[in-house]
Amino acid sequence: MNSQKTVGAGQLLLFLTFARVTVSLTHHFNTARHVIGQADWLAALLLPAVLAVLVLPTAWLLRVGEGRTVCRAARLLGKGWGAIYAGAYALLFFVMAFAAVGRFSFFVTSTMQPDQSPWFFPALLLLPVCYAALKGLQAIMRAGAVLAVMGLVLVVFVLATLVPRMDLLNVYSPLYNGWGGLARSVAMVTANSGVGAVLLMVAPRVRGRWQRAYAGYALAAGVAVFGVAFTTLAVLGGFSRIQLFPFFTAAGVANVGELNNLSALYAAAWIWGVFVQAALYLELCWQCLSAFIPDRFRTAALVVLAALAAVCAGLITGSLPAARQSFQPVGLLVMHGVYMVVLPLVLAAGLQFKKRKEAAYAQLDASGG
Amino acid sequence: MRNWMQAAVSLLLAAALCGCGAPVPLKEKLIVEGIAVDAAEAGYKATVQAYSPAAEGGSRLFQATGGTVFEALRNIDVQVGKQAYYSDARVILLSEACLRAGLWAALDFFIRSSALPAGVPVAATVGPAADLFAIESEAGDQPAAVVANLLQVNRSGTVCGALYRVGACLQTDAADPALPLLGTVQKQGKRYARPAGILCFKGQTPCTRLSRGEEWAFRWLCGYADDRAYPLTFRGTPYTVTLHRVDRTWRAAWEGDRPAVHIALAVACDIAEAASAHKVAAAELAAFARALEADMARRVTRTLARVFAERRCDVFDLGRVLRQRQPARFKGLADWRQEMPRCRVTCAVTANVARVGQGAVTE
Amino acid sequence: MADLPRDPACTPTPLQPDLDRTLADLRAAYGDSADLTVRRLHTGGHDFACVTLDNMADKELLDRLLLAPLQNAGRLPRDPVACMAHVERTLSRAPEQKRLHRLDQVFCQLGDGFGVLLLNGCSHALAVGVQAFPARGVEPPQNDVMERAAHEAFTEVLGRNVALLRRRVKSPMLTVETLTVGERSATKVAVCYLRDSARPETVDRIKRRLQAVRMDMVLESGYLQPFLENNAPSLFSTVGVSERPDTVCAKLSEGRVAVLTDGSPFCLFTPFLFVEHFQSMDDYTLQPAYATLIRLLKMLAFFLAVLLPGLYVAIGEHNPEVFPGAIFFKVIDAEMTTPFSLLWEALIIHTIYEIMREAGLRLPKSVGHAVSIVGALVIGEAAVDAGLIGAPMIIVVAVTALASYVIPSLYYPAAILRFGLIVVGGVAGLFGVLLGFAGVVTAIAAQQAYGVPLLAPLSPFDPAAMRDTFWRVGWRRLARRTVRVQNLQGTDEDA
Repeated sequence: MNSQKTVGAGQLLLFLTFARVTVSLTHHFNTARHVIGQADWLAALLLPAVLAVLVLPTAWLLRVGEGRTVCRAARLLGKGWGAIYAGAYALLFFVMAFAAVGRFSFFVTSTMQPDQSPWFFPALLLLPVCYAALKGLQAIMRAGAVLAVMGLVLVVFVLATLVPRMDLLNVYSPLYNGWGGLARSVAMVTANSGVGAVLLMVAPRVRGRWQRAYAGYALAAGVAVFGVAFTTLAVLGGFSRIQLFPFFTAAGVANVGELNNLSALYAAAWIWGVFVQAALYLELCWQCLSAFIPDRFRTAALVVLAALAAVCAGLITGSLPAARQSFQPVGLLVMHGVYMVVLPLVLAAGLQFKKRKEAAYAQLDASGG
Repeated sequence: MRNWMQAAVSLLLAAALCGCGAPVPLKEKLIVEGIAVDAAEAGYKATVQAYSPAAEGGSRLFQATGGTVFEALRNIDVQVGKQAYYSDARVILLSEACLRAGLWAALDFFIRSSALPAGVPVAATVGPAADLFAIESEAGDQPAAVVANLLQVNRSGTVCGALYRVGACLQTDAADPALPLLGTVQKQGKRYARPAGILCFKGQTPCTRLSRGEEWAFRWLCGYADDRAYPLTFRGTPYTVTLHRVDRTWRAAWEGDRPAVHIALAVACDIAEAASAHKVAAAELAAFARALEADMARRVTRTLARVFAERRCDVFDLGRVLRQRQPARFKGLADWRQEMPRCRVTCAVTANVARVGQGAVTE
Repeated sequence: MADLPRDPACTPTPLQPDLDRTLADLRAAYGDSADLTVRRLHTGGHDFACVTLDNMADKELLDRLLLAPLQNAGRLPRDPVACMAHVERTLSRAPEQKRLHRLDQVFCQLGDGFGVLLLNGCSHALAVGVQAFPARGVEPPQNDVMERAAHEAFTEVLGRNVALLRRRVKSPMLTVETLTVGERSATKVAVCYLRDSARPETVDRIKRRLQAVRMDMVLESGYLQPFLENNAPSLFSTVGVSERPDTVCAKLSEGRVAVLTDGSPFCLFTPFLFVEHFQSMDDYTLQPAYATLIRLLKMLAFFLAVLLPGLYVAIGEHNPEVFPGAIFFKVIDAEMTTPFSLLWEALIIHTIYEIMREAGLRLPKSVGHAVSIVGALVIGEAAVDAGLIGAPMIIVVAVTALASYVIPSLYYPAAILRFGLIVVGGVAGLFGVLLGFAGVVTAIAAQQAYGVPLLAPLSPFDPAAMRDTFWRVGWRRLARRTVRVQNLQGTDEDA
């Protein structure tokens, strides 16, 4: 095995799918103030196509950059570009890390343990997350694959137990409120699909074809989000509109034998998803910052990043406006649009232009002109 | 670095074990098994049945009043000096009197509380809801458990009104909520719980009660499983039919400018016993089935006429059917409740007498 | 205080041709120990001395193989070196003999039960194999007890252990390389591998690590185990231990390297993966369906042993809504009367259990049953009756204890993790336990054993190897292809 290719394609697929499923578990439909969520399940079926389009700038950049990560590719254009991109993506991954932790902490302190301090869960989560980040990308992806399989099994299990409680009369036309409702739902599911940004750093390290892993993720994400959205809607109907975390409520309705509350399984899947995501994002943040910070400060840097992420996550948890902001699709769409589309496009175009210029000069030199 | 980390871990361990962040232990919480809400002068009176192994019967009742249900329950916490634990609540009972102020007002706290399971059954009571926590049980079960069992489908014929289903109805204009109605009965000086029908709502306010006969139609139309015996008089002889399955399908259409819903009920049943010495001959089975179909269809039609058309109370999912099958036309309606009397509802029943009980058929 | 003498075994001193001087050096080195036996004889015009350590060499055999032929030899070559060569080639009947040039070599061979022949005027000695030191025979294994497998275990004698391997693997590809570790103990260590299966780089690394061991005494294979593991400390070892020759042979065929230590009946082998804890010889001799069931049971037992107490504490203290209704009230009834929180109950009862277990291990068998009675009465009954501990907690401890013995190799990591997760569960609830579990998975995933990921073949996923992981396919399919450990997905060839 090439020591640079430390991540399996299957591990990448599992991580992306699990991360997307985790986000869909956390999503509460009423943030965009659109109708109940009728259009969400249809939007989920359109998600693979959306993801296929979203990945095009990334794919172009990886091709033009000859398999380099986004930070290294930017350095080809110059130190300044390298610094800007490294800083920008470090910020993105840092924000994604504390947002994931903050969302989960907000959930727990709103539902399962309202007596707990808003700082407790960020601190609790960031300790093992920091440990995992210190272990490196390879360890995170390997552990993530195991946790992803377990988490996905739990989610599927909860969904299966909800099937008898489905009332299909709760599901009606996704276009009930017109194409605008569908568009808003598509925007919502897209906004929550920003996990693809990790490709810009991880794809060069994948053994095998990352494109296949991504294609698998796109399909799996569509199916998974559809499953969660459709099931929640079919079980709860209009009740989901007034729930902060509809799938959590639905899991509380499910029962199997003597177990009459499966919300703990839902929480298990979510916390493992947050753990894997936050660990990976912190590690990727460090990899971006390694352009500025020597490697010998890696441990200290990760500890500081984890501490800062805990503080930021605690601020989200303790403040309802801040929590709401972290769920807002508009902000997420802008962020992912910039980082997954605009920045890679600009960089890829710049590299392409540079290559052509160099090729033209080389031709000129060769012709003796 | 390693020394610093070891020191940090040791400090964390010490902080963890000192108990300063420990939660309230379960034994110091008020374990609520059932909640009953009645109307009071200033608003609501809440009665809570709490688990107490040391008390006689294994539970104790606590009561308090408040301007809202939340306030009343909070006052119980203050009175008892313990934090209430709702996650194991088995039932919520609301008296008819308190429901007159609105179903949403009564349920608001329960719907918003994440501690309360969303599947907890909700029922209305004839008379004070707190009386249901003073009932007896032959098996020695707690009153809340007895009431919860009573509300389960297939147990007594009444339907389960889970909190989330009621909440869903309150969020839509295409359906009205219905709650099982419970009452008490005195037998040999002891009080027992009894099912007392179904309480239908028009929006948030109580509208009408379904009679026992109308309950059958309600169960068939809403898809609640029930294998109780159905009485049928065939050629002057009373029989008892066990309905194993009632599958419902709808067809929704627009006839001109008025909606139309056709309901098809497919029944699988058998004749459990003959109430008299008369048996149903094999040659008469077809006629028996037709008689059953006609009887069921008549019952459905009458129920719909009174409750749906006359009282404009849609507890039968008709609005939801129309919304699903004819979304555009349904959305175009200004007010579904105004359209209810104009909606043409027909019902066709197909009965399949699948088995005939022993001794009930002669060759 | 007088200076302590320096150990001559640590200094390579060449043998002197002067016999008297050599014998004097020997006596001085052994401090005139009573068990040093010197037999001098003059025959064929030469002065010989035969040195043994009492009760280490078979004197009768020595006489028959060496001394008698020497005495009956008649004329011997005049030159001492030629004479020694003549003895070595012609007179000695010992099938095993070695030439020794240094005094430390003489000490080693004497310690191994050899007889050493010295000749005046010759600067090398002859060691003949006449070992007869006390050792037990091949007995059934004490720890790796199997339902349907050979009842043979390794012994403390290295030669016998190698023979037990040779008997099962007759292929000449089985290579045994011996090293000596321990500056005073001069313990022999055999590195065994199949040349057509094991990675040469792995074998070299293991040999280098063993050669780099700087210890005075190596008395057990456990002394060497840390040197074969990774540098970073971890609960889960990358080196397996077994006292069964059949198990070790199976590991060798999968490309692993075994290390036998003289004086220890426990063989080390590496790379050792996490899933191998759940595999045993019985899995391959019983029906595949039953073997699969047992394997899944073992995995369940491991999770119970590690997670059950922590989960119980976590759910009971922080998330009681997870309990099913009937259990919920039983737990409340139990905890209403106890003075301690669930966290402290769990810590106390598990500590008492570990104390009992240690006591039971060390006590003589005749007294051991008294420990069980005291434990059952004191903890099981009296503590519950007195209201100190809840009955559900006793059940949790009992189930945990039973489950932890299903996989003895994981007992110690499970015990440590159990305590950790109890604390974490009591402090942080269900989420703490789940995160702790995630942390453990990460710790295992981060480890590699000579380039092979410890979590293989689960992660990185290797479909071919999965036929012998959670389940075991039948031998018809299993025999088609042997999966070598170094060929598993994700193996780092540069490591």
